[in-house]
Amino acid sequence: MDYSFYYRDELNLEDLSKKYDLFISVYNSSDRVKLVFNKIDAPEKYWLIIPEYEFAEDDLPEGNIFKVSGESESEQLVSLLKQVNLADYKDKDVCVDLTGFMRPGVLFLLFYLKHMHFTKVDFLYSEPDHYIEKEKTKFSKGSVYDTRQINGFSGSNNLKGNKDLLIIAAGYDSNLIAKTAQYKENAEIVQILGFPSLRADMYQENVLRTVAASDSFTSNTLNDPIFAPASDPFETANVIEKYIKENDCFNKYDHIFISPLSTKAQTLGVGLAYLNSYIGKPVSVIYPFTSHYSKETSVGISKVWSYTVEFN
Amino acid sequence: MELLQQNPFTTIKANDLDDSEINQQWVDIKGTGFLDLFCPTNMMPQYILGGKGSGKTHLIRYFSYKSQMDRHKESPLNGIVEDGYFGIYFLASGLNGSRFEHLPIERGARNAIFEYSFELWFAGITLEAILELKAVDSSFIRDEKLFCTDLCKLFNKDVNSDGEFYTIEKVKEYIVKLSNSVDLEVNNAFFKDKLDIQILTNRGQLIFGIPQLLNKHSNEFKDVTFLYLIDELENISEEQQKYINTLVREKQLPTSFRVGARRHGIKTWKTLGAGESNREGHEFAKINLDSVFIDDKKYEEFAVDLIINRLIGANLLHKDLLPNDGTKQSNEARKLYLSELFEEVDIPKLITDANKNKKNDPILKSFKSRLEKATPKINTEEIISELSFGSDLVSEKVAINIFCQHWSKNQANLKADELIEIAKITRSSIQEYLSADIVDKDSLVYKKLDKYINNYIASALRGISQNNLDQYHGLNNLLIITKGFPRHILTVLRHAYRAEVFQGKTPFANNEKITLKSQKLALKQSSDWFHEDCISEGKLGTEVGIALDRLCEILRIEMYSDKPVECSASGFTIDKNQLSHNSKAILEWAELIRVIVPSGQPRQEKNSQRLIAKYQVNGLLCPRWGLSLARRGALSFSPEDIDAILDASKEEQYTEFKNKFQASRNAPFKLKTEDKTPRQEEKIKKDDAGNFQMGLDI
Repeated sequence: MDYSFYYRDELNLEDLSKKYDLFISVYNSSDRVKLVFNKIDAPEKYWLIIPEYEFAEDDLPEGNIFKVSGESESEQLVSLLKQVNLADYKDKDVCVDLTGFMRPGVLFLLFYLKHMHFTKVDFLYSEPDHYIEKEKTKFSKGSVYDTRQINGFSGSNNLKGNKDLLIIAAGYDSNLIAKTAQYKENAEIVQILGFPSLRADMYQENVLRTVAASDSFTSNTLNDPIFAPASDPFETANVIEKYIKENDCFNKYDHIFISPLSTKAQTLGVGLAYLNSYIGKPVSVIYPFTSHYSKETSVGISKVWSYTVEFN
Repeated sequence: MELLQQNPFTTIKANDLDDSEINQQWVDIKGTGFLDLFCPTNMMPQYILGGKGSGKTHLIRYFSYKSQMDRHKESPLNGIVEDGYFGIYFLASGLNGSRFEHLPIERGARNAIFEYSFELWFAGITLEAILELKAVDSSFIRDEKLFCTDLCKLFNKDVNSDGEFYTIEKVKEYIVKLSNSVDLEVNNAFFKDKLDIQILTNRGQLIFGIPQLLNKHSNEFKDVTFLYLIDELENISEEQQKYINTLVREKQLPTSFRVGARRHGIKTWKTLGAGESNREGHEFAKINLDSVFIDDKKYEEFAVDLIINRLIGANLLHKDLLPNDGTKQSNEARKLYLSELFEEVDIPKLITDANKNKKNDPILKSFKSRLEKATPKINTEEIISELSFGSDLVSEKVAINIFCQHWSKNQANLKADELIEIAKITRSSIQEYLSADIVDKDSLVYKKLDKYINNYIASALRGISQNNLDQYHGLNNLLIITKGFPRHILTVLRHAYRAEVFQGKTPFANNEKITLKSQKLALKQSSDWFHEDCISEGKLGTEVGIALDRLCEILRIEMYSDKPVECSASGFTIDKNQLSHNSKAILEWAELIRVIVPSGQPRQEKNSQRLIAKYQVNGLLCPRWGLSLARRGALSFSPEDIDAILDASKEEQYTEFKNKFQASRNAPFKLKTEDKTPRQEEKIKKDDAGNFQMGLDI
């Protein structure tokens, strides 16, 4: 798949010319989410309130909100669809801010949009100025209660009896990295590190957190990582597809698992690679689920990216 | 870099080993070994249970046909026939069963699709195994076409009407195709009204049918047992475990099962249908790997063999030390050899040397700061001067202990100025003990040293270097720390090797010792890793993490206190029946993920007849809190107190309990503000007469 035709742009929030018919964003306490929501020009703008952030009634924002319920990403989207029929917008200008979404939510939404034959959707992602406690920032909270395939991203089995391959797009959450690695203990692990990173020091922070999870890895995992820009979903998709092809992974491994634990931009890239190239193949996207997530993990806003995804 | 890559302890999980390494690194226990426990030709199914890192996967994979073929390289087929079993290994999670759990269809249909998918998956892997045998000896099936015809008859409809499936490869391809079409339907089920899946087999038709056909169509396989080796059962749901349990219950000859799971991973023993439970001894036998290593000697021998095996594999030791070649070296000789590869330290000398040139005595400095908080004010300087023994920090800890015990016991009667007298008596008793030619075993000082020496040494070490990591030096301590957890010893050594290389050394080569520095660093890293790892295990992981931190905090207060009650406490006793539902669940989860380990059978309390359970903190966590490995004492908690420790929501009650506990173990204690009572005067006189017992209970 050639991703060089996909359109990626840095937005200037003070000079936004594009108007959308529908804009949705997940509410949390970070500045970067609120600022973007206020600046986007759309007649229909909705906050999604998701259970993982555990907002009390009094803390909810003003304006149009949809409370999403359900434990799994598919249940959550179905609960949203009961409140707003997204399919009505499939030929309109739709914009989704990924920044506050849970990663499984990003992927299942992408799966839905493709399945419903949306032609084109803009996804936004805002980079933070920095994370609250640098590499020690806690994102997920509580225990990992389940590690499983994300709905809509489960592949077939080729029944060869070989090892599996696990590609981890590694972020700061060493607990999630370790738990994913442990869930697929029999797999060879390859890491994708975000490089170039969002900010210069974030690459080092990223590596530090990955090393923290190293006791859960096989021997050579840390030696041969692959790199994809932290803020570029299209290059991330390209890097994944290239790696799988060049290393003859379908012949070498029984099943290829990809776990998106890094930026939402890279998560989008993982989803695109899957939907464009791996449906019906022995490739799955897996994720370690925790029940809670920090409401505020970052300070400030550095850049806002817009990624235009064309589904056909 | 090259040295780092040669680290013999890099691989700590059996999953990272290839089939030949599974054989090379195989170590059995002495006496009734794993081979006897596993007994692969026995038709009784077994569940092999054990904590993370207990060696389950290595054990199970050792019996897989791939390892069998590697062991019998020259004649794989004959080897398998001689073994009498054909082991087919796979992970329970390999089918990714969780995707069926979230399907937006009713439960019955969902389970039927899962079972069908599992059946196809099982069959595909089994045929793949048969194909590997065929590649070695294509004639072991008498008539392949006939075999395939029979195979196709296992389906509910005629799938081979035009005879296209005449080779095993073609049948397998067909099964893969069926399996993939189910996978695709399942993945796209979310926005479909109806799933297009036609179920072509009944439960067990392929799973038991293929082995039966092989028995029928192969002379060699006439008497060979088919062993399905299902690992990591914990990774599938309760409903899916019921399905596996049902297969175990309904097994048909020549097939049997070995199922591996973490102890907390068995969600049910129930089967499908009427929901009857499989019973141990009837439908299955159970091997608990955690209890195999409860015996110190067994674990020690196993661990030594494990390390020696790795070192020989990395060409760091001569093959004469090979465990399996028992005629050349005894286990004692191997252990002695290994012991000498670890630097050890003379702890008394270390403490004395470290404190010689220090201006501030670390033990007395912190004790003094506590004394200064006493009300009414006391003559701190004079007391400290009496309790000071220069660089002998251990004697100072004994002095503080005896002094505080007397103060604490008589706190309702003592006045501030009487403390100086007690300090003087304490000093003279210690001096007398130290200067005596013959050890006075009746003296209080001897009894204190005999009982609390680990506490005193730990405090002294912490006084001079902020931690007591030196106390855990050497191979013997490493074996105690990791007892019952083969993966733990490999993890510590992995870090130790790495630390040595970073210091420019060549660990284990040329009899070079692992330095104390590397041992300490490795222990700290391993201890921290285990802590982080276990507190995120399962739904109760976070709560267990909080409970563990609180429990260890209390044990640490006890360990380093002025007046410890229990010696070397790293455990606790508890009446489980008195616990709240929530605390009980947390305690049980903590036990299942093995952050706490039961210490023997529960004992019956004399008066109440209640069963009291005793637990120890996992050895690898001890260095993190500086707890003792001696495992002598255990704190006894009331139901309210243990509830405050275990229940994460009881933060306030815990803080209150902790403060109370801390005050009960550390100076200052209460003082009387009025005149001395006649009883007290009498007591001190008696002590002055030379009886240094001072009426204390120890």
